[in-house]
Amino acid sequence: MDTCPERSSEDVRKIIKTAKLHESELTEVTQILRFPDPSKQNDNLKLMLLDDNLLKEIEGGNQLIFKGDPDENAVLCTSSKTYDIKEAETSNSLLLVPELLFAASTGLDETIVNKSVEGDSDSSFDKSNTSLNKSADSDDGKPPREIVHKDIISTFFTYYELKPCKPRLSKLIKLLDPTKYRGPELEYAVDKSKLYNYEALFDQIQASKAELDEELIKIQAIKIDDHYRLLEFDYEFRVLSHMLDLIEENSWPLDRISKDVTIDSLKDLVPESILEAMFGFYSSESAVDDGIQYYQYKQDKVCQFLARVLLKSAGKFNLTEFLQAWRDSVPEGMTTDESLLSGIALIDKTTTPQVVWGFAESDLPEDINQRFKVLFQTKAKWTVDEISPYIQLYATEKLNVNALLTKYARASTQDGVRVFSAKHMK
Amino acid sequence: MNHYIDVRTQIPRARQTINNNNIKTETEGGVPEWAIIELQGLIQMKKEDQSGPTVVGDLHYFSRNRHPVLILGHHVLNGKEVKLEQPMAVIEKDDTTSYKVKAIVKKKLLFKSRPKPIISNVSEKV
Repeated sequence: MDTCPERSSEDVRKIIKTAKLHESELTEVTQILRFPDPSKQNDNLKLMLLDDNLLKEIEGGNQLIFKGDPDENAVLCTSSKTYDIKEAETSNSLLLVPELLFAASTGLDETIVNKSVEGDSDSSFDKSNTSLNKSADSDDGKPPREIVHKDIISTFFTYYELKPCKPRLSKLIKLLDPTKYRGPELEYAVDKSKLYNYEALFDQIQASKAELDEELIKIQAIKIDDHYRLLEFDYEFRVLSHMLDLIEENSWPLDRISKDVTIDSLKDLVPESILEAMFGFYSSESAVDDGIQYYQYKQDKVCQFLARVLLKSAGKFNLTEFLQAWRDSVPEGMTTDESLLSGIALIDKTTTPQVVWGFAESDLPEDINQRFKVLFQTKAKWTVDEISPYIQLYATEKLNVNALLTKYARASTQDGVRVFSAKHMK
Repeated sequence: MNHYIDVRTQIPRARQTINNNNIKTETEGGVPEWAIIELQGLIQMKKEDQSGPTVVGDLHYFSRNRHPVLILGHHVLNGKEVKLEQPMAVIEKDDTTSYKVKAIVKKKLLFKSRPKPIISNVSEKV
């Protein structure tokens, strides 16, 4: 009966017959499916759909990590990618069976043919087709059927679906913001309990290792005594000014900056680890002369930072005056360009005089609807180039900036230029 | 139509790790390959005795075309061996913080046709 754990060849044959099947048409093995003893059922299992990349990671023995606080949607991270996790439902039952034999492993035509060659005429194919009414007879002389028992260790009606997604990195700045570095003399004021080392950040941020590492570089987080820190804006300005002042002091050509001299000259003013990091952020290798590596400062990055310094005080500036002050603030030989203000300032050329004011992407709301609202409140009409830096972070491979604008803004043409404005008129 | 539910409550800890722990019958990658049997609806078992295993049904294959046939109580189900469009991992919650990959599923036996009742003229105790 149903609760009998082991079934005999005879039981199986009886059922085959009752079901009006013919043993001769079947391969050699019967698999008896069972629900195992309730104590052996495994309720901790989950099914998860895999793409090629995830399959490769698993077959390669690599680690996959689920990440998410209770208030966040969970993500799955490989070493380099992040996946969004959704649970999908199916109306079918998915019975999970370890070591189930597929047809190919249960004895096939070839085996039967081989056997008939060996002289077992009973299982010949022709005969089996004509044995409809004789199956009872032909069973008699047969060896017992091969019977294996297979356990259904779990039944599923849901499975996880994974989609590659952008890493969720905005939390990183929030975690690092309260402990900004303002110089060694102000370290006493920093709440040490709010410092994060790499492990702690990796636990908290829903991103793969590669994506987190990239972001830490992008936001210029510096490792100080094992903890990741952001430099406070004024402190960064102070250090950068010291560095740039050395150009004139030493009469260096812009592509002949000496790293050793820079660090040596400033190490009494700024901790060496910070000098090293700052030099790395703002310079690139230029030339090797006499075995000495020389560097040059990244012109765009330096000019942009100095523009932010000038724009820092609230309010609008006369554009012409601002551009002059900006030119004066950068090292001699570097050229400022209005295009560098994209994403950090807005210019209004319709007013007299023309004005410019600081408008940083990082100060805008995170929520995309809120952000568009603020953008259109600030300026009624935007060209794609103007608005791009402020919405770039929402763009994905499937939904680029233009698609975002189609979705969240209204397009029109002004003096032959395509501009975007708020979707709903207020 | 698939319908999505939020999974945040099911993965409560900040970080959970999936490790590959290998078990016997491995694929080339060191992870065993298991199978799924997909049925319409769900199997209801009448079961008095709560201990010990319960037989669900007998699975055979036709040698002619390799198609599976499943005898479930008084029904016969004809199915097909199907390669999954996307393979699945079977993951197991180890303790509170980590998952391990128990197996990979690449193929399933799909029984999507309506079960045929067994009409028996002989009284059989099945």
